[in-house]
Amino acid sequence: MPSRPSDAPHAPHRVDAVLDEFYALRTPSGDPVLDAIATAIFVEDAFGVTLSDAEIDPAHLAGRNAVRNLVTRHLA
Amino acid sequence: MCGICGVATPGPPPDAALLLRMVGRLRHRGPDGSGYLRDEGVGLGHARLAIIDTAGGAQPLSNEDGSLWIVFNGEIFNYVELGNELRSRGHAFRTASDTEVIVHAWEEWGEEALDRFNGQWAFALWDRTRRQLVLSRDRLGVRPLYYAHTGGGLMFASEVKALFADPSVPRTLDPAGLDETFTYWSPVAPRTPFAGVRQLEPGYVAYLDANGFRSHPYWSIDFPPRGEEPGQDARANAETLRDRIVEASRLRFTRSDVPVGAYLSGGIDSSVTAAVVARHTDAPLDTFSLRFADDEFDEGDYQQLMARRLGTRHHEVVVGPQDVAEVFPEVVRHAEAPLLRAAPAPLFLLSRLVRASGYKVVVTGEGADEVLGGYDLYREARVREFWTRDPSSDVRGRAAELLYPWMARAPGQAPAFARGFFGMHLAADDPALSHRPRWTSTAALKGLLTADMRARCAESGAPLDLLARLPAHSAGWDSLARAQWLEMTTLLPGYILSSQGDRMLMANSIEGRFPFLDRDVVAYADALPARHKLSGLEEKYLLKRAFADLLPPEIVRRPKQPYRAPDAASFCAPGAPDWVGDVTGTDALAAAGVFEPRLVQGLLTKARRSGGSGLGNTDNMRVLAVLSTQLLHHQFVVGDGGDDAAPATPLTAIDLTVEGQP
Amino acid sequence: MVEQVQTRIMDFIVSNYLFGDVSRAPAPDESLLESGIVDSTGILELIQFLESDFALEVKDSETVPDNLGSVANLTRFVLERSPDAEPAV
Repeated sequence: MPSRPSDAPHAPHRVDAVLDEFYALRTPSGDPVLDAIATAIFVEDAFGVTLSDAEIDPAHLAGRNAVRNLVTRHLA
Repeated sequence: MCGICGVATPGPPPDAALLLRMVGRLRHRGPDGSGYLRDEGVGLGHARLAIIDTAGGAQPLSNEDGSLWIVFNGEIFNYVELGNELRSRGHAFRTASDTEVIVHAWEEWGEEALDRFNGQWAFALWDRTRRQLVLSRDRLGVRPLYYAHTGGGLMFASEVKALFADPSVPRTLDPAGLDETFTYWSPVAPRTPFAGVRQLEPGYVAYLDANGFRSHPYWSIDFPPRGEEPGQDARANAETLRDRIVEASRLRFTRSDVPVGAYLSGGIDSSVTAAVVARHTDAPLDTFSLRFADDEFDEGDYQQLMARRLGTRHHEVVVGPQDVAEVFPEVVRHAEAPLLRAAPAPLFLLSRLVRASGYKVVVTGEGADEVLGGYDLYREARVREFWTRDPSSDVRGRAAELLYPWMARAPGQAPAFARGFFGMHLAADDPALSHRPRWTSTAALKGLLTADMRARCAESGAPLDLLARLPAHSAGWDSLARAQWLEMTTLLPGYILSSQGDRMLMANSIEGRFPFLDRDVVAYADALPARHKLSGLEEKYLLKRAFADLLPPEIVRRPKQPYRAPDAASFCAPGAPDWVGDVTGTDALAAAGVFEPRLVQGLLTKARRSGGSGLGNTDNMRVLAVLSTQLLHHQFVVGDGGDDAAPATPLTAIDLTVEGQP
Repeated sequence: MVEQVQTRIMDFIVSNYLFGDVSRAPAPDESLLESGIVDSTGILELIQFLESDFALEVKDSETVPDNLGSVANLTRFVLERSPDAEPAV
């Protein structure tokens, strides 16, 4: 079954669904900086974006809303 | 499961005594009976491990009119459905075996029959009408098949030791095979460690007739372009994956006329297969596990947790370094390849336990790591990719601590060096980004070679440029898919399924069955989005989601522990067996001509200082490489690999030659 | 002094990692990691050698390539940490 482009992870309405996947089953490390790095690794791979050093930081990646905003900004 | 062998010759019919000798060499693969066939131009041999249609399925076996004959090692798990379809198309069956299904399927569909097989196989079909020999191997290399061109003809067999039953087959180690072993962990098919001996590639079919010998793939590993994977929803995908794995496990557990047991390693994969299998039987399930005397390697707590949860009859064997050393020569004789780890040896002891418990078949978890994104190597690759986006970034650099959490906290380790090691050879456009650290550190083993052997390796053009075999369209795959392709082309067939898998199981006449390598599981898994396999650095994401209800949280959450056994410590402590000194003595080293004796002495002196413990990765590999290659030379070049046994009875002899007709 | 320390270190590299194969001895500035002479787990042997043969204590934060990554760096590190360093043997 061929996929429609609107099914791809970077389609705007899919961002939440893909983030749901990530938060369903991750293992926090206990270190906020390392957790931010782990989130950055997922985000860059799943959405095909590249984050700056400033963005690989708990300030931008510690909460789901912050992550969602950052991803949406990058995909715009 | 079984062993197969045969000869195709342009001259007079093959010698029955040779066929019997070849079959006898495979007795461990088939202790329940044997058979051979002689015809003009061809001989077929079979050593039988009776599992399906134990009364009726003797081989060699033919179609209705005797125009097609087969010898077969493996199982076609969907043989019931295929048999029904073939009967409805008019084929007449004499047995209840899956072997017979292959013959009729070939009659009906020819080479397309292979697409319909869901199983594991190596077989040879002799078509008397076309005077054509057909060889085939399953898609991922579960079952072995070796061959050698000999004076206008061809010999083939499940194991090299059966080819060497013919004294006229030359026996030498192949420098190119060694070079590939000391790069990719094994030669890459069609290459083997032996010059002049080839192996049919996984997923291939070969034909031999008056037009010569030719082979081609009937299937190849493939992935969709990144972002175009058909299913993007994790919940739906988890459900489908579960259905496929459950069906694959059910087929493998129930399609047998003898009882089937299960391995339990303590990890997720075999916990899933054992849990699924436990649900499909009211009879008690027997589970088998490997324990280690040394806590560093032991996974007993997790194994027992799962066994208790499933209420199985649980069997264990405890292995220590001395056990490994004692069986190692036998292990190499069965592996027929250099080994860079001692890990096959405990598995030899585990299958021995299975046999002693009266079982012939076990279901195990091999394949999940390759197919569903479980290897540490995939996580390392993702971190390396993360680094390529800004190699000088310090914050990105800390990702190494996510790979190996102990690095951040344990004193006396050297995290910056681990970071440096994993950060080498970083080129964003390198299709082998995932595998460079492994290939580079394995290639360090070549520093032990004699100058002459190094020169011969260089002349041979090895190691094979594996990347040249990557399909052109792989550039559009996800990078995880490329890493999976490399792993499924090298380590999986070359080591995991062979030296650690089929060879160690068959050494004790046990058939292994692998639900994660089911045709439909692999097809589905290969089409998944990468993040459903490796979600960030969370390995086997979808598998964990699909089976969370069946697994204790301790097992789902435990950090991945790769299966390891004591390596150098098994051979370099006081009290090591005599064979260690024998194979590494100056005469033995000179006779093999592979390793520089001074360097081997230096290596062993260093290793023995600490009793073989506390050595780094590369030194452990060095010790294993030297010992296993030297043993291989002694057994298969100086000796002829044989432990000559008579073929098992009952023996079926079929003579179709002109002179043999009444 | 510099030469003595450097020679001692080079001898260790050759005997411990190259099993005496002097022909593959690294250049003093050559990266031990990148040349494949030391792998990520083998670095621990180097640390043990410095601690036992030069009576040094190597702190975790000091286990970095700048200090340990080449024979030249190792020599400099040893001399900085104990300027009167004489090999213990």
